[in-house]
This record gives sequence, structure tokens and C-alpha cells, in this order.
Amino acid sequence: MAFSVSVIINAVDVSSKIKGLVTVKGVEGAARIARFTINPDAGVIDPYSYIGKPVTINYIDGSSDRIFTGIATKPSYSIYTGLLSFVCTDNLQEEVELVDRAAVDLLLPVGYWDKAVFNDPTENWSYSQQRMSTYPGSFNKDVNGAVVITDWQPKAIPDFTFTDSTIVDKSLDISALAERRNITNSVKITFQNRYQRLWQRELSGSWALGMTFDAWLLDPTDLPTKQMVEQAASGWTKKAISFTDLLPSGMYSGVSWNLSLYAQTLCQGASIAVAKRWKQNITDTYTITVQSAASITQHGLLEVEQKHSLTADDNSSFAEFKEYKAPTGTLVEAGNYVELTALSPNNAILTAVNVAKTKILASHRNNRLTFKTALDASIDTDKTVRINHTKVQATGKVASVTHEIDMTVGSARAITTCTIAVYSPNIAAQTDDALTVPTSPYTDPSGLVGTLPALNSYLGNVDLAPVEDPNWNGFIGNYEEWTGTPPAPEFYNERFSFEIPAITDTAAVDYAGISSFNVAIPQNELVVIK
Amino acid sequence: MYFSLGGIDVPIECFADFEQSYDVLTASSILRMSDGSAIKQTAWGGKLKINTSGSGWAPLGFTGLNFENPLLFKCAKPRALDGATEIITLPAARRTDSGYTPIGFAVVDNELVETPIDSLVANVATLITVANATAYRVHYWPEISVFVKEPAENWNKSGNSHGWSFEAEEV
Repeated sequence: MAFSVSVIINAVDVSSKIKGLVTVKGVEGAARIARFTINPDAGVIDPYSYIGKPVTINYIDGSSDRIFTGIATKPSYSIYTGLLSFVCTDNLQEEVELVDRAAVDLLLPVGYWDKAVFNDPTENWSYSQQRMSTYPGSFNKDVNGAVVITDWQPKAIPDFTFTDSTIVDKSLDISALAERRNITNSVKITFQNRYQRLWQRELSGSWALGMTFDAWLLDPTDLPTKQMVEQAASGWTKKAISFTDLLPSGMYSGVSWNLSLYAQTLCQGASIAVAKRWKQNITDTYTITVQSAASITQHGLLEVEQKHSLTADDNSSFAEFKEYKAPTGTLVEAGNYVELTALSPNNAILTAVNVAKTKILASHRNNRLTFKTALDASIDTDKTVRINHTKVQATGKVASVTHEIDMTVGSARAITTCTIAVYSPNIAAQTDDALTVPTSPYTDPSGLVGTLPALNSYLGNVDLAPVEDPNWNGFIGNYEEWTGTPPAPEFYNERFSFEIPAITDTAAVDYAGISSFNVAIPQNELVVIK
Repeated sequence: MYFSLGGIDVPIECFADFEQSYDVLTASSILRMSDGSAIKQTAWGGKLKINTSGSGWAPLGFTGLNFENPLLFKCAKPRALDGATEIITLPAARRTDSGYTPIGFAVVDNELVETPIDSLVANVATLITVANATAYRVHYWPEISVFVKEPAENWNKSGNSHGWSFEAEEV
């Protein structure tokens, strides 16, 4: 079998100048790297002129098969050997660095991304890595330079099968099986969705003197001024206050009544509506366990934690409430309106659980089997390979591939070193839960105060008047003339006051929900026989 | 003229003793598989590496040659090319000077029997057939372009013997 290699730099064929080994190494998730050395023609050498120039490498063995498309990134010249060495890359990073983020999303139409889970990187490469950390697959360029995304799950039917007659003697190495300490089979996610509940509470009540105007004329009592009533509601924002005025001048039950200017400032009844706004910090804590029950049975619990949070505070002028404004929230109970500043946590949670699942899957495919074969240009990281050796049968996706071509006397060879990744443990009947957003643990508040306390009239200077209580709500005054019998009249301090229920809903509230998902480890063949 | 390098015919006094050997340079290896089967991988091959040495009463005399350039080497050792029939295609890189033109043979009863080359057109030699011949062959003398490392020389006073050797590789 005759073989050769074709290397073209910037449209110049340097194949005949190749000296020594040509290697092309492709690793899943990374740029493909080619290295080779040429013996340039005598004259002026300008290594710098090669930087960034396109490079293609073909392996020729009957047919000519592309094994590398990229650019020269690091030429280096030795003045003693006269040889010019090249390191070339397929430039996977620049593919995502030089476009905008929307274009990266088009290149990587898989996985999830949310800035509550990841920091927001300025570099698209980091962004692409973050996105790929939510998808069980790898992101590469193929030998022709096209972007490909390949699932980690090997194909049902392998692309290639290698046997004793195609695996180079003593090249099969299965020593790189997964280490227990590198396995993660449970991820405990604590996701906190922090936001604010914007409250508007509206309380109303009414007060009436409790006697007819005629009765009052016959046995008059103190009356509150309208100003007293309004002042009683201080600390709250006045929504609406209306008064029952004293009746116009005239004869009432034989009593002549003159509505003086002063009497016009008094009232015999009032309807009061006040309101208040405030903010309350809320945290919805989702505790989500993503785990592989099969692996826990096999290896014991190997858990890591992920903590993420999403914060949405109110930055509006919501709490500026000197003048009454209509409620912006929804009515949860009589007189109580709430509005939530929460952002939807759904994408962030899906991102977090997919990071967890991908982390678990990745750690279970650390079984790496390596072998060498006569160079096969079609082996690449998007292929599934089955090893059908007398002592080992295994199927996995290619994790890395290295082509080595040497055309030197004594070391001439054309070899491919292929490493496959195999999932384990291979346990049947695992459940693979769909990853969904758990139900929000949030509930609307209840048992709320919705009205003012009952506003009564307490009149002293009358027989059997009770002892004054400072906690009375309403109007507290006295009859003008004592009309009772001994022992003694009780005089009250005239006032209009009521105790508005204190706002107790200011303490932060934490809602908690617990859920879990099981991840099925794909069942890959891995049999070793002595 | 016995052999020449770079247009210099070496006089007979220079090589009372003479030896020439051919190695074939090949970038090739045999890959063994797990079941013991072999695959031969060859990048290229067929390039001659020629070691020539000798001694005589006079020094060799290649000192004026420019060894940085390829030199034309007319070799003294013939190579044989076998064929099943009387028609054999020869390499173009062969000597055509008198005394070193190709010579034809037939193999009869496992012995070489000389037979003239009837025609030699564009490297295709047609030999005159011989009765009962089982195969034919042609001997030819390579004349190839080579890179040469400057020859090593020595002199032995007691025998007045000038020894020399050089290594040539086909370009």
C-alpha cells in the first residue's frame, strides 16, 4: 500500500518539501491541530508571512482524503536545521468569536443559556462553552472546516468496526476507565428566585354619631371636626373621606337650629378610605435533585451542588404614595392588591437542570479506549466506532483522533490513533425523566386585614358611662349636660382616633419547593475478556 | 570508460580494485495487526543508494566537482530486469555508451543463454526468442542523477595504493 500526503499552504503545494512527521489531532470540543515541518527552498525565509494562511492536508492512499482544513497559526524556523515547522488550527474559536451572539446561537442550535446560571461573558467562545455545558454533545469542525455538533450518545449502528485484523498489535489500551472520584451521579441544585411583592392595602370604614339629628339637638354632645377625622388617618394615604354634615338651619322637633360657620366644620358621620404601599422581599427556593439512580447503586452517592439565583428588585417609584394612586397589582383578598416583580425563572431553571444532567452524563463517559489502526481518514470525532477484538468489545463515540504520517526511511508509517468514549455503568431499565420546570412554590398571601376597625361613638358625662379606654376606635366625646343620676359623671378626653392595623407583611418570605429528576446513563457495550 | 561521475571518466589507474553496491531506499514499514496479519505501508521507494569504493595507483580525482548539485553517475555494476516474455520495458535511466548497452538473455533449462536485443524502441526491448526459453532478462547499467558526499580518500605508501570511497543517493 503506497501512501503519501498533500500539504497546501496558501495555495502553494509544499508536499514534496515535507520533512518527518505530519500529525493531525482532533479532540471533541476543541480545535483540530495539525503539525508538520517543511524544508523550504534556499533564500530568504519569512515565517511571519505564513501566519493566518490557509492550510489543507490530504492523505493519499489510492484516493485523496482531506484530513485537515485550517490556518497556519505558529510557524517557527530553525536557522541550524533550515527547517520551518508549522502548528495549524482549524480555528474553531474564531468561528464563534468573530460573529455576533445571534449568529453563535444559529451555529449552536442546542442547549440552554441563562445569565442567572452563567456569568455573562464578553467572549463568544466562553459563551459557546457555557451553552455546550447544557447539551450532551460536542462542538467541532469537521475535516473540511464545517461546524458539526455530535451527540455523545453513540449511534445505534456504528460507523466503523475494528477487529483483530485492523487493530495494530498491542495498541489497544483500556486502562483509562472512569475513576470513581471523577464521577458525579447527583447534582443538588438550589435555585433562588428573588423578587419583591409590591403591596397596596386599602382599608375603609365609617363612623356615625349614633343618634338622630333631632335627638342630638335635644341632648347635644361634642362632635368631631372634620379636621380631627382627617388627622386620625395620618400615616396612611387618604383615598377618600366624606362627611355627614350637620343639617341646615331650621326648626327640628321644636328646636331652632342655626348652622353656624363653626358648626359647618363639624360632622355627625364620616366615611373613611385610606391606603398604603410597601414592598416585601420574596424568595422562591427550588431545590432540585438531578441524579442517576443506577449510578448511585453502582458507585454510591457522589453529589455536587449548584447554586443559582435570579434577582428582580423593583426600581420604580411604586412606593412614592403621597397622593393616592390606583392599585397596580391584582386583588388577592379584600382590600389587598399585590404585584410581583418576579422574572420568569423557567429558562434559568431549565438551564441549571440541563447543566446538571450534562455534568452527570459527561462524568459517566470517562471510559476511554484507545487503539491504533492503519490510517483511516474517515475516522473523526463525529463517528461511532465499535471495537470487536478477541479480548474487548466496546462501542462508543470517537473522543479524539490523531493521524500520523511519516514518510522518512526507517520510520515510515501512516497510523490513526483513535480514542472512543464509552458510557458506564451499563444498567438496563433506567428512567430518563424529561427535564421540566417544577411548579413554582409561590402562593398568594391570605388571611389579610381588609377593613378598618369598627368606628364607634363613646360619649361621657352621662350616667353609667364606662371607664375611658385609650384603645377605643372612633369618636370619644361628652354630653354637654350631665343628665344622669349620681354617683358621678365620667368625662372623656375628646378626640377622634382609631388604630389602623399595623403592616405586618414586611418580613421576607421564603417559599420552597422540592423536585427531582432521574438521568438514564446510556447503555454502551463494554466487555473485556481474559 | 568504466564509470564516471559528473562527466569525469575515471581512469583505470584509479581502480585496480573496485567495488560497487546498490541499496534500494524505501520509506516503508510493515504494520502487524492484533491477529498477526501484516500490512505494508510504503510512502515511496525505488531510489538507489550506491556505495562505490576502490583503490589504485592514482588518486580518484573528483575534487573539482560541485557536490552541491546533482551529478550524473554512470554506474559500473549492471542490474537485471526479468520478464516472462521477450518484451521487457527498461528504465530510461540507463547507460547507452558503448560497452554498456543492455544485453539480452533467455533462461533455458534454468541457465542464462545470451540472445541479442532485436529492437530497443522507447525503452521497450524486444529480444530474439530462443527455443525452450522459460523467461527472458536484460542486464543494464544505471545512469542516474545523484547527490554525492565528497569521496573519502587514503594512500598507503608501502603499496602505493590510493583508496577511495563515496556514497551516492539517487536524486
